[in-house]
Amino acid sequence: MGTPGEGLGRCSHALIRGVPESLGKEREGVAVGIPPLDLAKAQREHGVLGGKLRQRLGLQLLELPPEEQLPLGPLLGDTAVVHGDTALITRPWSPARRPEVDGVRRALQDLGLRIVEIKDENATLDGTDVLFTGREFFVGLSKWTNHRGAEIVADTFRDFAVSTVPVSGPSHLRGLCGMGGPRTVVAGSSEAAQKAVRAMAALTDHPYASLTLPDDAAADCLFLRPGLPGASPFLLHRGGGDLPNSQEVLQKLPDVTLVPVSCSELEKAGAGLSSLCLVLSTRPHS
Amino acid sequence: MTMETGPDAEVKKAQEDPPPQPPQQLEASASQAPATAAPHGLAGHPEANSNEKQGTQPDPRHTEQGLDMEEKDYVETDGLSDRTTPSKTQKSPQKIAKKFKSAICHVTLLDASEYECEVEKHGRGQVLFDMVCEHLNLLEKDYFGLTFCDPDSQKNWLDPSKEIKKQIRSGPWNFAFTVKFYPPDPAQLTEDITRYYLCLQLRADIITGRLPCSFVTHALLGSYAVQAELGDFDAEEHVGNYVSELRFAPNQTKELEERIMELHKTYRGMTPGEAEIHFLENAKKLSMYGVDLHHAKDSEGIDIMLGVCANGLLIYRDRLRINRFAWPKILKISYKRSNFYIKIRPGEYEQFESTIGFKLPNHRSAKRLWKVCIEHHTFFRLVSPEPPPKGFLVMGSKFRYSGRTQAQTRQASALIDRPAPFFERSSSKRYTMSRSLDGAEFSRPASVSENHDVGSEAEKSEEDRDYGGGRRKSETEEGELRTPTKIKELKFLDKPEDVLLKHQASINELKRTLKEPNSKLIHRDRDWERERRLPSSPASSSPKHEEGTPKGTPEKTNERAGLREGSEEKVKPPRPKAPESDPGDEDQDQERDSVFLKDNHLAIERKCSSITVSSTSSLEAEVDFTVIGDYHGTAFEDFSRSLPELDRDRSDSEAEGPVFPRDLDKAAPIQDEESKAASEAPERGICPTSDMPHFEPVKTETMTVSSMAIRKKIEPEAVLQARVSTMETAQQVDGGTTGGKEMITTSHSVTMETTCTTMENSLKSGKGAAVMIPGPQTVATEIRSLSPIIGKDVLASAYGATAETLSTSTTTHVTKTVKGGFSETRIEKRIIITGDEDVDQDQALALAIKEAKLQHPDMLVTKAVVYRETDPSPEERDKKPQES
Repeated sequence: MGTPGEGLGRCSHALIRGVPESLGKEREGVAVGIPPLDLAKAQREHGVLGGKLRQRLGLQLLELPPEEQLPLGPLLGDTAVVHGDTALITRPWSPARRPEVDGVRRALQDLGLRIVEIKDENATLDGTDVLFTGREFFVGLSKWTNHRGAEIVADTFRDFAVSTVPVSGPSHLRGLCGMGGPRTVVAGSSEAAQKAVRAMAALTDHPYASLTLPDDAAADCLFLRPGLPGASPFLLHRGGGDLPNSQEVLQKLPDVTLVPVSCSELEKAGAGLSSLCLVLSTRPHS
Repeated sequence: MTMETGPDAEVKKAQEDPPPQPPQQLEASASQAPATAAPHGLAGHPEANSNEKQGTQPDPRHTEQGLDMEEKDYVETDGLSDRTTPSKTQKSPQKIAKKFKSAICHVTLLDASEYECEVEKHGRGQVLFDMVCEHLNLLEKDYFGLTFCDPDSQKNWLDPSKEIKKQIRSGPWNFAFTVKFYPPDPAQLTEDITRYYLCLQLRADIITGRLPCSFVTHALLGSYAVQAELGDFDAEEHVGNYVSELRFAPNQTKELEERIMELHKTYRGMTPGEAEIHFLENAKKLSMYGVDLHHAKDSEGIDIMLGVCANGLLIYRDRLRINRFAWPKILKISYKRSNFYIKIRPGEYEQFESTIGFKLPNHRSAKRLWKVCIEHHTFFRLVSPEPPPKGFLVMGSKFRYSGRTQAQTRQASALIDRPAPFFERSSSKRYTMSRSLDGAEFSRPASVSENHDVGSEAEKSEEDRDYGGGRRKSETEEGELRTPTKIKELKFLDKPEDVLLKHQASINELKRTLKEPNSKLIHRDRDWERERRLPSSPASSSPKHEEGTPKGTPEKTNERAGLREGSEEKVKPPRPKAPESDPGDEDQDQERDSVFLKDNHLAIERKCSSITVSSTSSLEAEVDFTVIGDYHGTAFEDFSRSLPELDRDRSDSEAEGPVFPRDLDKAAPIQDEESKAASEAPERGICPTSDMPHFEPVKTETMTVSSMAIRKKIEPEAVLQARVSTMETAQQVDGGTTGGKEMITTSHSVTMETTCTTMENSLKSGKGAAVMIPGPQTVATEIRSLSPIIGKDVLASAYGATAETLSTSTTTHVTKTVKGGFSETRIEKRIIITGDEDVDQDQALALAIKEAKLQHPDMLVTKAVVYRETDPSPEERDKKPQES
């Protein structure tokens, strides 16, 4: 278990999944309602993200190949909740997205993680509704995730308090808030985000500071500690090209190296940093 | 178990300790002399008991009471025994028991062994508890308690201050020794032996599934347990699956055992004590550590669990935490029949307190939960226990936690001066009896271990019984050794020189608390809360600050010091009466239990008069919950004055302020939409947010001395009224009116009127709360303001009243009911107009109603009840307060 909060962001690997051409096309089924996006730009953004994860953060990058029948496959953060040696394979709200979990499951299994499945047909859980703070889990009860889904998170990660946070509007919890450090919650300034943060503040036993960013999307950042314990942590966040207003506030986060990336095109498909990659450690307890 | 019944000689020696005491103590204990010997005389050794039976001391009753008393004495710190003792002595002769009759008690200890002892039939719980602790050689005993099962086979805590017989009624004299208050920071326990028992409890909690944890944690905790029990890994001794005879998890797998052995090999050189510290350091982080769960239903009839812990009350649905109420958030805890209520301090965005109700399976379980809450609150949050209510006409239960608080027990254990006692860690052996092993010598049908793996509740309890049985045997088989240690009871707190010592100890404690991680909480709290705090309200900031300091945090420590210097008398005098007021408790409970009581109010009122009361709500909080530790304002000020460190800490964080400037800016504007939004969200009744943002915030004008006087008398009345409205029963109204008389302070006449306003609007979540309570209490939001507006200035200028001297006080009570698809909000205002006889009361009344309408434009006035009291005689006035 280690020191509280120390588990946050520890990682050795990152998993991403390529952008299929179907994401740029006129869509039916799953992706209906998503405005057409510039496929080339999306793929470029995705490529840059992978590059940053590998080169800037020094992570082992695994890239799953795109699958045309899974246009939202790149949003693999919805398909699994990984902590320590355990990966909970989710049951995404959208039935059309459920096949996405297969490839991810295989990859995580190959990395030696303990795989936990959701067998309950009544549970829905999108991975990006789960926020791990290093000390506890918050699960957003959103349009995408229901109580039963949250309960399975609690069943899977038993050491930790798992609290539910009502999320209003179309967002996932991670689209509203994230961790800016082991003891710092960052959140957007929208009403939904602020409400979620207040709920979390009421539910927690632990000390956190909070930092409010002008843009909700900016709060969807990843606090990562690759490499050896004690190495300086990074914050992978949306850069100035995407969200100029939030940059100044992000500078206030102490003791992290900021690594900006852009995903404004992928964002049109509902992607955020937490959904575009899964980070994990294959040596969670060393 | 670890201890043998041999060293009576030792015990005797300890007994002889008290007599050569400084005069002051002697004087105090003159009549106590037999009593002082009591704990040892009664100690659970057969020999000791036979002593009693021989009747060397004629009055066992007396002895027993003295013991009880004595326990109280050192709870109460110094200098008080001379007051308490005489009253005791007077009391005891009347109660002289006819004959000494004893009963055999069976106590299941934490290692599942059974301890048998004899106690006097009318002995109090404390007697037995002390015997058990003595048997266990345990000094830091305040974290522990005895439980017994009631006819519904529910676990109940044995109240040390009451007769055992009355508590267990017809049940068997079987008890279990368990941890009652899980210390949030076990490393702060003074003795290894205490930690050892805590470990045993936690291991049992883990095995029964009460303390859930992951595979990794099972392995980690298991490996420390192995190290503590078996010592260093020894390649010769530890062959094969040497840990398989120990139990670590509800579903123990080979894989787990292998992992445990792997880890065990790496702990070479770690002492058992260290291993236990590691064990506890990891266990305490588990989310369910020290959470006492109670089944309940929420207002919609959904099954939930209420978890009582050191920091407050947690609400779970299934495994998920869906709400949390830290102690500082809770103003009042009460129960009525099978309903359990908590009254919540309004949040930053709410103006009203809210009362949340939960349905428990039955009356007994509601009461049990209520008691556990009171005890946890007192133990972890208060500096010293609040005195039980005294007097004859106390509403509700007189139950209070009478033991030491965590602060007191830490202080006391800092004074433990004995060499670390030797004890044998023998827990594992019990497992051999219950668990089947692959190829080990203790063979049992494999199905048993299968059962463990399935692990249903029933099987677990059976398993427990197995342990008990197995252990019982082994207990008699093993003649274990206990190194005789001097048992020095902590009564030396009463000695004058120890006052100094204690003072030093409290200073040390203060220092320690400052160093301990808890103090960070203050910091944290500011961080979380800063953005929500309204800068304009100084009163709201102090409670808030308080909010994040759940346990023995610095503020509290300081208050303790403060208490000792100044206001002891306030807390203590009622204590001696406590034991006498026991009988009848049960009956009165049927009425309604609540934490606030008149006596307390008065005491607190006294205190308030020296405090600048800047907001009604904060005063209210104190009145209702009588949280002695909650005098935020003063306590904190004192603290920052006396402790520059904290101050610095504080200013540091303030300096950090600009880091999150937006948060501060944002706070206010969001407020309104927030509260609306909150009411729109389907909150399932658990978190009722006020949906009446148009209410004006209640303000209290700065009060002059004279208004303070009025106020003092009004307060109890107001509380009474509140109770009336919550209960909505007719008979209470009488109480209200009589109360009304007592408030007549200025002189001639009083007019009271009640305006009920009713508003209906549909609520979206609207499933209806009828399932839970037929009555209207499902979700009650309540405000009460007491704002004596002085003189004509306000009234006259605003409404043209012609009063010469007129003061009004308004009590507003809001009840929100969710019925079917509708939510009904009922606001009851009690306006008290006090003034000279020539005041035009009718006009004042009309104005008051008008004002009420103005305040709530979308509400309907449905009822106005007017009571008029004129010119009561001074004698009557004087009498009333006692009566009501």
